[in-house]
Amino acid sequence: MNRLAMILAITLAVSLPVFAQDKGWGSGNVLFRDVIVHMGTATRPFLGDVWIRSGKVADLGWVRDVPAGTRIVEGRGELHVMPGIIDCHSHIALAGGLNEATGPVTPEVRIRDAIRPDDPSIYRALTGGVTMAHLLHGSANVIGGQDAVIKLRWGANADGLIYEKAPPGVKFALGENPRRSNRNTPGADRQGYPRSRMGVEQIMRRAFQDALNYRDTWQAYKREIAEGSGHIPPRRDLRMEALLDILDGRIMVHCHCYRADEILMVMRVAEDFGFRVATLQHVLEGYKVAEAIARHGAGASTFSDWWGYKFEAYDAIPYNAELMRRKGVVVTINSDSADHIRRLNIEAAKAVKYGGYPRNLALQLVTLNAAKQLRIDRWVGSLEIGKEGDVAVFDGDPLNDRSKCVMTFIEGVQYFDRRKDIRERAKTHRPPAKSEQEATR
Amino acid sequence: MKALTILIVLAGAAAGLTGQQTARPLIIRNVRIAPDRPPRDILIRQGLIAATGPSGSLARPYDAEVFQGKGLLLGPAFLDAYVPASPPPPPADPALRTAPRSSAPTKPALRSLDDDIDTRRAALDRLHPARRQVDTRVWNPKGDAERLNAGIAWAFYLPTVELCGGSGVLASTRAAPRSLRVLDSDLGLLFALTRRRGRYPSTTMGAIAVHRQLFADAQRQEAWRKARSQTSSGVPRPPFEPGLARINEVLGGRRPAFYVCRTEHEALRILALLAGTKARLVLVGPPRVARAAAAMAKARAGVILQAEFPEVTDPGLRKRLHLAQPKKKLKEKGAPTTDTADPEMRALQDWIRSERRKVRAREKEAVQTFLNAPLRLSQAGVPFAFSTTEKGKGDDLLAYARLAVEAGLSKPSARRALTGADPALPFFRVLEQGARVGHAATFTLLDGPLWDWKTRIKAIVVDGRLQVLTSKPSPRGKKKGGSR
Repeated sequence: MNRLAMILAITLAVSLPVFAQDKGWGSGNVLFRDVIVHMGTATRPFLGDVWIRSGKVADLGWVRDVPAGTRIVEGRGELHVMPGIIDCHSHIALAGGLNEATGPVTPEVRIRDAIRPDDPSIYRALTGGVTMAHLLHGSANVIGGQDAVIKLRWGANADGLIYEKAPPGVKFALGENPRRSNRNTPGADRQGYPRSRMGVEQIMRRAFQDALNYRDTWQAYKREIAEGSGHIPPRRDLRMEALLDILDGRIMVHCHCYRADEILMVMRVAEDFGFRVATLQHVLEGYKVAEAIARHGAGASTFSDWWGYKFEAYDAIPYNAELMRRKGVVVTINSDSADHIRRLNIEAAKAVKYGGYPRNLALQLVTLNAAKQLRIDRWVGSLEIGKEGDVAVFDGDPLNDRSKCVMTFIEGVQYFDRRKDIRERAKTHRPPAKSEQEATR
Repeated sequence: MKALTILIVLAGAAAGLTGQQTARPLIIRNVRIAPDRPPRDILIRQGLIAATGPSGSLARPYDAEVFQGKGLLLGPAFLDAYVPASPPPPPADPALRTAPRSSAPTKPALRSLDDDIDTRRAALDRLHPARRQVDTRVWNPKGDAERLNAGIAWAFYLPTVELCGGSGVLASTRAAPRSLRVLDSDLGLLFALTRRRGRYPSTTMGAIAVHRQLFADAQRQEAWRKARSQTSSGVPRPPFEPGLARINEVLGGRRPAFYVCRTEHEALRILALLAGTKARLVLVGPPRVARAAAAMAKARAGVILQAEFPEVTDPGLRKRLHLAQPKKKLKEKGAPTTDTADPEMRALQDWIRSERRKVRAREKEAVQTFLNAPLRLSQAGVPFAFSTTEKGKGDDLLAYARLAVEAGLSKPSARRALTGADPALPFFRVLEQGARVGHAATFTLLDGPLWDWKTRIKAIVVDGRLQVLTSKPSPRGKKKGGSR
């Protein structure tokens, strides 16, 4: 009996730390041992270890010694570890509306003011290995609101989600949405401007010209101050200040677009005013003007096989991502959906199977390239020493549609565990107790 | 002759009505001020406590009304700290049109934020000082009679929610409009993240942008004014906008800002919006905003906690909230019995049970949030007061305070929250608390200790006017679905 008690005690003592790790979700120190490592670069996957210390990738390859207290995840050569997936275009975790569609130009509104950290979509995205998302304003107006890049730290408040290292961006929109939305906005003027693609371009040009005039007013005031004659500062206009930040390159432009002619148009407008478009979103006809996009220096964030949902989205092909990549464009696949965000690895796989995208580069479509487009690739996007330890763990090759994400870590802290999730689900969906069954008879 | 008789009768009736309004002296005899002290008499004259003395020691003035308070306990009168009810607007004043429309563009054109005239003008017009005029002759706030029955002697009336709503009015609650006494017609300004479909701002982020713009405008006006006062000549007079001046009062901490919010995330956004200013912020919201208590304490913000009872169906949770139990549904005769041997039926029953469990878990969480909110605020050091909600009833106020005490809130804290007596809240300097000689005679008469659920409010005295409450309160929470 005593022996049995001792065995029980030892078993309990051994198993307790395991449970504690599961509940505590780690302190940022974790070693993935004997796992297949996808670095997210052009390097081929290899069998080895990934050590994350204090939230950053400390070592890759064969890690011999780790300090006591480091959590060890045994891969046994079966688990695949890849960088956390970054969704370059998402509308999850927003409260109080995502389209300030009451006017064609509203860059003064900021997504970061309306983040809803308890949106269940954040957790659902974690279940697909997504660790970061680029939250964009809607596409109902030509120059929309400012974006926010978040890390999916489920349970943190809005400020805790925002990734401050990411430079700010703004959403532009071309084509049917700003035209249609302007017309259909309840209460808005039905003859509202713009009604055409030409009008969209002129809205942009006029907005930037107004911003330049606004700058002239301030410069004149500053000159007067220097001369000792000026006393009254011009009125601050937050809308114009945001437009000036765009012109000065302090706010990146992410432009919703589909058609080739519009893509050329927005790049032309940007070049006329001396700034660059950071990314073209959707860009389903990007393959037609890939060289021009590469020359301009814009990235392209597209879909692998989602099109045909409106007229301007008809002339799309599965080879879009590959053709743009061949011309030197940094390409990503995004979700633009709270549902698709859970399967972005499959979206990348589709670009390989149907679009001829190189298999060894496919994961970059949803990791490193997204980080490059958001100008955060110094810190995230791949598993390299010194980068932040955002990791998705799959039970098979991430490009295999049978593989499942089993764990998701952000800076070494675990935010999703499939086994734990299933256990929790069993609690809420538990089968009826025997007495309940009998009572119903 | 007949007409003369009618006139005399009408005049008599009118005299009777106005007689209720005149301040007759009032003596309350044999009332206990504290549970362990002997009964005392209280003489009230002209709305003030004129004298107190041992039982039977005060002589009755010849015209005084006498109320026998034997067995009753003198308790505090309560403050309903947020009642959305705008006083009637003052007569149209051309000066209210403050924002110039000269820069309004012609169509088609691009609008700068400055040209969103309608939003900006509406917001500023509501902050115009003329808005604080309260015509008590015509203003009869809805629901005041019910509030009196629940022991609420004062209410803080804030305008209906708008981006910038205008002045808050602190007044005594009276069933008769003419007797309503305004204690402060300009206690603070209301702000809210209001959005409207089809008009700027239509989103929360747009509402925040408008507030940021208005604050920038106000700061510019202030800077201009200072430049003019510091320089002897050369600076033209700024185009003074009274609404912006009022916003400056808020940003400078000279007048509190009451910000309506619905979630803790909105509360955090508002705190961030006013960070770096001297604004004295009071957030108005339901119990879930208390989750942001730590940030509120850091920003020295106060809270008006709305007694928004969660909608619960579970009998155990309803009992815990002291809500009336819904009537049990009678089983229909001849209803088909479920065949539990049928696997599909079994699966359906399992699913129903599972859904019920989920609903109960959600309700339990909502009840926990509701009950813990006052304690959470108190522990974080955030000053707070209670208010009713538009859907709720007056007696929710005392019920919430009692529930908070059951959940662990100290009785003095609960009492402060009920009466608005926290020195860190703007009500404190206006309301006179305590049955002291020279103070306004405003209190309740209870038939037992305040925190006992069986205790009823027997009478309320507001500014020396006595109202005996005879009607029994209806069972609480009997509305459909347990809503309040």
